[in-house]
Amino acid sequence: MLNAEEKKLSKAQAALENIEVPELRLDEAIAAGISKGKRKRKKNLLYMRTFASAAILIFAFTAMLRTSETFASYVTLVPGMEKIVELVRFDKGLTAAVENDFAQKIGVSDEHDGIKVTLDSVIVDEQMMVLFYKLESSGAKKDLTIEKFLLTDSEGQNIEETVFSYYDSFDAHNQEQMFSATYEFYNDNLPEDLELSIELAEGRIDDSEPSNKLNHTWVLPFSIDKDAFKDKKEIYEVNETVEFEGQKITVEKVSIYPTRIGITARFDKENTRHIFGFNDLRIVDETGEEWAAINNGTVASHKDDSTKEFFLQSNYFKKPKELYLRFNSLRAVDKNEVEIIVDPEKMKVLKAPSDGRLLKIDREENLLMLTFQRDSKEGHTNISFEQAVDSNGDEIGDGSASFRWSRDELPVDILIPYFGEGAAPGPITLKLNDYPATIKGEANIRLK
Amino acid sequence: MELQELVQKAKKGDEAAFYELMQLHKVRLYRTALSYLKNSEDAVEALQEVTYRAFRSIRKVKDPQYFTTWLTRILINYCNDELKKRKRILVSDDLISLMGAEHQTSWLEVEEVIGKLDAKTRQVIELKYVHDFKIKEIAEILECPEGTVKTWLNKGLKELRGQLEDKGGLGYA
Repeated sequence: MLNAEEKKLSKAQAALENIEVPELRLDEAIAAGISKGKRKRKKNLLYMRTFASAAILIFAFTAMLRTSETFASYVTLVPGMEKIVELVRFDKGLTAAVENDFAQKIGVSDEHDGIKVTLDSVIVDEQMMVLFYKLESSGAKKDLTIEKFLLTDSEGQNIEETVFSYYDSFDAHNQEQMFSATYEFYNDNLPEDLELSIELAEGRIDDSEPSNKLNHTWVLPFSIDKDAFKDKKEIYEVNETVEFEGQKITVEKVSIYPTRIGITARFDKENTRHIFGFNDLRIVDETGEEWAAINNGTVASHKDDSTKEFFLQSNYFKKPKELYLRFNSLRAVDKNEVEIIVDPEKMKVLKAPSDGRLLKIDREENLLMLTFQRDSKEGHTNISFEQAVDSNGDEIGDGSASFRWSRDELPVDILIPYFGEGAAPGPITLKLNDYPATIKGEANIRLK
Repeated sequence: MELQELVQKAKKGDEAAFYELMQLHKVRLYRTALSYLKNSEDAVEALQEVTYRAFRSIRKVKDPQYFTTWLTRILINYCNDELKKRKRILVSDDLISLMGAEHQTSWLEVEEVIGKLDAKTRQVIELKYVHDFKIKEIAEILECPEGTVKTWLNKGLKELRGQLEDKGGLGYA
């Protein structure tokens, strides 16, 4: 028997039940929700920021490398550095840096809301700085995601840098986790006193999306010892030219730093193809040991239209007797295929490389999505472009691009801001910064 | 097919089973969303977002028998976030216009009185009497003990009774 107030309430229920349900629209909503979920599920979502001013080429590998055993044999145990070795073991140069006691211990923490952020140590030279930081949650278990990660000088002034950071979200069930982030510098006036500011968001269990930005900023002031890396470099002036399928490539200079090796290459202006980069550039010593490209970070920076610097893992700490630079494969497209032109209103591709790798374009929320076919499910994507330009020649969005792919599928999605960015109507142009078409040849240059 | 069997399949990545589950729940989710967001457009949007979130995290459903309440919890979290975002009082005009004339008055009456309850009590009352969930289910949705749900329910009903008596609208005569 219901009370009077309960009867009243059940009338409200009847009223709600009486409302006609828009079946068709509900089915569409379900289909749209599943389709959105499918796009995001199983994929390793990775964001990278690119800046129009510093044209750089970034390779980003999935977490796969972290668990790969390939490099395990190079790792020796350094007491207290196990977690750092774990993070750098995909890079022989950084691993050697840790083994040779080149990492600088910092040990600065900041704690708010039961969440402690510690900058454990850094590996730094005049080229770049890799920061190793820990998140610890002592109180209620929280899933955390990094919202903002900013390196400044001690006055809070931005440092001119290119950043590539790889962050996973912090798993509540793991009380303490170590992460790394990399900053690269294009000048060597890095101050000794620095400050790292981190903002976090709390992810919720139900929707696995970060939703709740935490109110605090974790601020970690720290100092680095610049003398530790002063003059730590070896420069080789090379100036040798090789020819691959009629395209001339000149290796100008090789600079070996503790954190990486920079190889400056110039591509002849008369070449018919635009060369993006090397597929297998490597340094080889007298024993046949090889140092390959950096797997997870910047692989090249553009000095000018025809000159680029490419980065390899460092062998600085190995001190070999003989040293060779070798490569057999380059990524290049015909110079008249360097631009992709699409019409986002009509969702039409107007111009793209003739190999058909650009499968389709689509809209996802406010982003324009370009889907490309990769050659293999593993390895680098090797597709990127400069900031999109509208029909007036104005740049669109903030220059960011998000890459999304899965280990189970060949296609890779590249998403760029477009809708709601105020671009002029009509086609937009994306200038390729990298593309996986290749040319082959043979180069073996002795450095030492 | 049994609900539990569908959940098991959906957890393993069976898209058809997941779609079927959403079909079984769509009307109830839509109506619940309507009562929170007060208009059809937003309720449809809510269903899409809940479908998306559920699809992404269905593997986290530990026990298939909790699927319905798990889904409802995602919806309610979403609706509460949306309401927080808007930070304004919603007008029920759109919702009311969807109802038959004979229901509009009773809905408005109920809305008026339960609007005076505190948020938590109101939520429990609505889930029980407007959305027809059992006490055990409400406890699962809100992730709290059944005893707590009962306490809120009694408190809410008592307050409602008081309000209705004040208005002389109990109709004991």
